[in-house]
Amino acid sequence: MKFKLASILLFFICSAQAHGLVVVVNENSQIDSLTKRQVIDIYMGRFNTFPDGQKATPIDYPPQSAIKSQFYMRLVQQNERKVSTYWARLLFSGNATPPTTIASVKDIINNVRANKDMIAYIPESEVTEGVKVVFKVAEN
Amino acid sequence: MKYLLWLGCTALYLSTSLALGSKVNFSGFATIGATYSDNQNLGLTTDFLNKSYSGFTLLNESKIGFQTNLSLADKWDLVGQVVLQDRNRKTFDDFLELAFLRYRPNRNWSLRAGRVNSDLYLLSDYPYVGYAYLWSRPPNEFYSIASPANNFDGIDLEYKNHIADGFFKFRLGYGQTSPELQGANSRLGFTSKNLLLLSASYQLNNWLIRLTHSQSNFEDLRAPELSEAQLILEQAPDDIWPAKGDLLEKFDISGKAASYDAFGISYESNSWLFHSEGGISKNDWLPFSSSTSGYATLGYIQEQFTYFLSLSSIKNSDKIPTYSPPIFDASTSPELAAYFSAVSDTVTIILDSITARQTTISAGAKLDLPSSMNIKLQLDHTNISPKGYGLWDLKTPEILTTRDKVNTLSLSFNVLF
Repeated sequence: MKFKLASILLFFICSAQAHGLVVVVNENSQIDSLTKRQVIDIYMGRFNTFPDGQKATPIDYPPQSAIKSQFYMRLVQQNERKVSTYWARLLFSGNATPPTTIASVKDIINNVRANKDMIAYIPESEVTEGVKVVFKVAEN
Repeated sequence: MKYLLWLGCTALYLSTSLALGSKVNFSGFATIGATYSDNQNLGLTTDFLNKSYSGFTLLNESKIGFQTNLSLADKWDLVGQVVLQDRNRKTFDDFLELAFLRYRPNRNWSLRAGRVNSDLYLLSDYPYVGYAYLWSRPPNEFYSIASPANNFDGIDLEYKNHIADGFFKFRLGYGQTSPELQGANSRLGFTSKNLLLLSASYQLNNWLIRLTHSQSNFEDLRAPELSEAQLILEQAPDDIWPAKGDLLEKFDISGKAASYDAFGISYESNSWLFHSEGGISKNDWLPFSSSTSGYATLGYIQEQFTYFLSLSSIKNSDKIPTYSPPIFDASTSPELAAYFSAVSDTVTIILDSITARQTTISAGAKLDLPSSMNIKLQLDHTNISPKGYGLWDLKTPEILTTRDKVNTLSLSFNVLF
């Protein structure tokens, strides 16, 4: 029975690690929390600042990353093809430039720790010192 | 106004030469498009600023664009974009699509100066980025006449913010543009001065609606064939050609104004999409006669394929202009009568060929590929009414008074880099 309970517990922990996504900023940022709409504003190029007017530099993952597909599907219910088309329109109309891409979660965290204006999404299990969770990306 | 263009060009230059000091982003897009049009008498004009072709060609739709975005500081940035395509006139000015300096005092307002996009239509911000829209080319009936106003040299002010659950954008622009068009067997250049543009859009979930208005004054005619016809008309004796005064007034560009109002709606979900736009242009100047145009496209998305059907139409709002031909009597010499008969025939052809009346039904498919690439296949069937050939380059003017049909097949490969 103990083994069964431990297995169930482990399953739930692993599920949370695999599916939990959070949006993080530098721990010294004045931003303590963001709403879903405010995260959409930044990641979909509507505004290039945080709500308080400070510059926001979003970080993204390269195309065809599983975490990227998961993030945009949860955030705006759009697959990566639609997001790519959306950004092509924004970029070549001169309205905004897409987020900078960095391949590894570790490098992303290091960049966010080093830059107060950066914002990124990472697995909740990877949250570490130097970054602050400002939004939890809920499953639809 | 030239100062503003200079500013824009400087912006483009700076954006490519000061790359080291600031954050710079280089990007581009390309289309390789093959088109086959089955009516040898009619040259397909997908963009009035470009050359037209009948039969098979790679030049109608192929293009390549390069863009530089340079972030100078938190509130300042530069954007430059050059698109190489088969323009009627091939100077650097004709390939320069964007070159502006932007200032964002806060997150809601931005001010741009230089060569900016007009934001008049759903696609007017990115009309040459084949990857970013559904069709092989935007619906001809609506977008070919829009191409002269894709961008302008001047300034614009943008406001954007949330309203209720949606996102609102408003833009006010002022400037001028000097397009060189491919007319019916002739070239037609002019300047749209005092160009005023207003656009407002509202996005809510999968829906986007847009309202636009523009107005301008025509000036600075650059059309050798039309100028020559005007000169001959002026020399015609009044008793031979009483209608000449009326004709000259219609062809005279000075003091003529244009206005354009458009409405657009777009819906895009992960399975369905719908785009529709309609526009009404009102022009005093005869070569740009008033018209009503629009289109509706329905698409269904299945995995990486999108299938679509589209209907588009243009119709001149005005009646086709008529006039009294020259009157010859016994005292008119045969040489003079023959000369003015020939001139009259030419004027008739010009008048009959400036109006556009046609409808196109299109069917096609888009295949999305990894790494920001797609392939599109599209078939268009166009019905042209008599004296409604304004969107085509006529190879034989004799067909003007008959109804005609054209089938156009397009295959294109689009990529971002």
